[in-house]
Amino acid sequence: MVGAGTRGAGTLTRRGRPWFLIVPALAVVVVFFVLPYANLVAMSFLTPGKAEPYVSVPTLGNYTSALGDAFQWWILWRTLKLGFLTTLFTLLLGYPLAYNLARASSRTKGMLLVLLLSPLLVGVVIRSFGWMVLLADNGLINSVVKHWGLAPQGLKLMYNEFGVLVGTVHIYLPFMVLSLSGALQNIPPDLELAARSLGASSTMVFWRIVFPLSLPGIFAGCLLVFVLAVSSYVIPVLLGGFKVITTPLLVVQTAVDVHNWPSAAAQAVILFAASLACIGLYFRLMNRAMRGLSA
Amino acid sequence: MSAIALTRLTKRFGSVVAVDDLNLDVHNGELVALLGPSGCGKTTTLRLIAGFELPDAGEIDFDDRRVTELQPERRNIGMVFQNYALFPHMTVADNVAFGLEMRKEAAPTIRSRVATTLAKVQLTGLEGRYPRQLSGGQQQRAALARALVVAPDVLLLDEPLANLDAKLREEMRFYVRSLQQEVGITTIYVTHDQAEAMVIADRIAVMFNGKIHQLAAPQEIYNCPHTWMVAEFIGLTNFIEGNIVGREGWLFVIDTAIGTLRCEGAATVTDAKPERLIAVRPEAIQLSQRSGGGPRSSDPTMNRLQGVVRARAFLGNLVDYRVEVASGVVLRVQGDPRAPLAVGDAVEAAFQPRSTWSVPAREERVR
Repeated sequence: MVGAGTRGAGTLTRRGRPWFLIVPALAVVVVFFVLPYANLVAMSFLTPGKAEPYVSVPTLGNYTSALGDAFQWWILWRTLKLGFLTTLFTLLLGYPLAYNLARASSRTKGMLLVLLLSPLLVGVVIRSFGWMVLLADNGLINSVVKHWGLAPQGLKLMYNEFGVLVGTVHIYLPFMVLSLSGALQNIPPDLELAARSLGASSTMVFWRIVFPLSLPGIFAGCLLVFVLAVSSYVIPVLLGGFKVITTPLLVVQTAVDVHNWPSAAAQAVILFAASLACIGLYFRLMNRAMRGLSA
Repeated sequence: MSAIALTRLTKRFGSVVAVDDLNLDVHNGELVALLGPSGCGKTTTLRLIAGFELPDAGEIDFDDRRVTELQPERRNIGMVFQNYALFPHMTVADNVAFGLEMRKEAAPTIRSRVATTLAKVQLTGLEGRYPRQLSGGQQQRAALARALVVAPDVLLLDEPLANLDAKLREEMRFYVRSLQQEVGITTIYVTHDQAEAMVIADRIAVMFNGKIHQLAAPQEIYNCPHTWMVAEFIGLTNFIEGNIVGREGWLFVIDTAIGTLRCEGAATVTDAKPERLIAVRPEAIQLSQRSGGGPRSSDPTMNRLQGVVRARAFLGNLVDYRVEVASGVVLRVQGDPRAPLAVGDAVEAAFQPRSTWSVPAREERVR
């Protein structure tokens, strides 16, 4: 009886594994992401047409022209650089925020979370406009600066990389804070107390205990923000005013303005490959740093 | 090693007084257990000594070193936490070395002291393991090693055995005690487990509501509790309410609902109020078959009650009886498992005045 019961339970869990529950999500991903993306990759190997977007003649021309173009390399470099700087600044600004969030009492925590997430309700476009009001040549900051005679010509705060960076850092900060505070919350406060009792100053406690144990959160947060920043379109358009061209802008221009779909597809695939290479490198570095943390 | 002195220590959390005007002197090399139910303030007291909390009033001294306001890292303490709080990203050796590194010891010194300490807690060979690769008992010993390696002035243990299974917990009591004796370190041991406190402590401080009700050796705590709360918390006790009506030598004569009883009591208690609670341990009561004309002990001060066995539970080394000595008054009695008493038997329950104790009656205010 007992033996049969156990065996029955074993097969039940195996047979009853509800794999079919992931079908809807899988269908959405396949139909709206995998298929279009496969189409994009295929398109990047086709010849641009005159009347229609492309003709079915295979070619590597889109890649050779993109990779042979110094301007496009420079755009790609700027895109990755902006991604890297956004990640760095969200990390630096977000860490103290995340630490306080993780260590707040549960009541304060709820309020802080609402404050942190409320900007997400407004949307990227409106928040970018908000920054334009502040950063424009005749915007709030420049009026103040000019009024006080600090910089009579005014400051160039927008339509340059600085303006774009301000926008991306602000808009992607919550994603970093959420990843970090998740990891920081998993660090038992007793560990910090134990370290203090052993003679560690608060600085030492941070660098020897809290920081290493928060690496998984740093890892996830940086990955998320980097990917979001590298692929962002609205923020560079509004705060860069088409003076700060990044690869996503170039892709859209090539596809929509120049109407050269295969070239745009090739540029997109190159950005994808470059990001992937960065992430791969990053994975290897982080894995080394986190050795001993994984179970 | 230092003696610890807590003077009029008070800590409030909002309107709750966690530690209430508490005084405690721990001698050099002594192990004092803070024992009490959860919420009695024992852990807060320990955290005040460690410096994790600052007191609202009072002073903490290690010998003649005042540490009341000192940061934890400047107190030179060793602490073991209930969940051990081993650093999960460091090996056992790195965990133990941490305190020495913070004290900027030279690398060779660190290596040799880590090795010596790990040998002392029998963890040699496991230096390279991570905490999650250790058993509960091994983690416990690693935490002890980490606390002891820095040669702290005082050792603070916060329910260190609570997370171990029952059998190991019992073993570790003796182990922790012998390690503490070997090192000779002044230790404060927080626990809610009275058996653990009895085994391990030189003296036990029984705490309720932020106050120490009694600080004494385990035997004295058990035999001569100062308050009814101590009597009730430690071991099993039968309480009989009554009023003092006189004294016979060192004995109180107390009038109760079930007759006049004689018992000892805290002689120092010059309580104006006559209301007393008589505390009788279940093993102090002798049961005998009420056969009427049997030979009786000639001791006239012996307390004798007539009753009926209402329940009987065999516990292996003893039998647990519930004897009804008056309607609604039931005494717990523990005795010889070979005694031929059964449920329904009429019995005489007798106990010596010297094996009973009386404490001032419960305050009316229930806290």
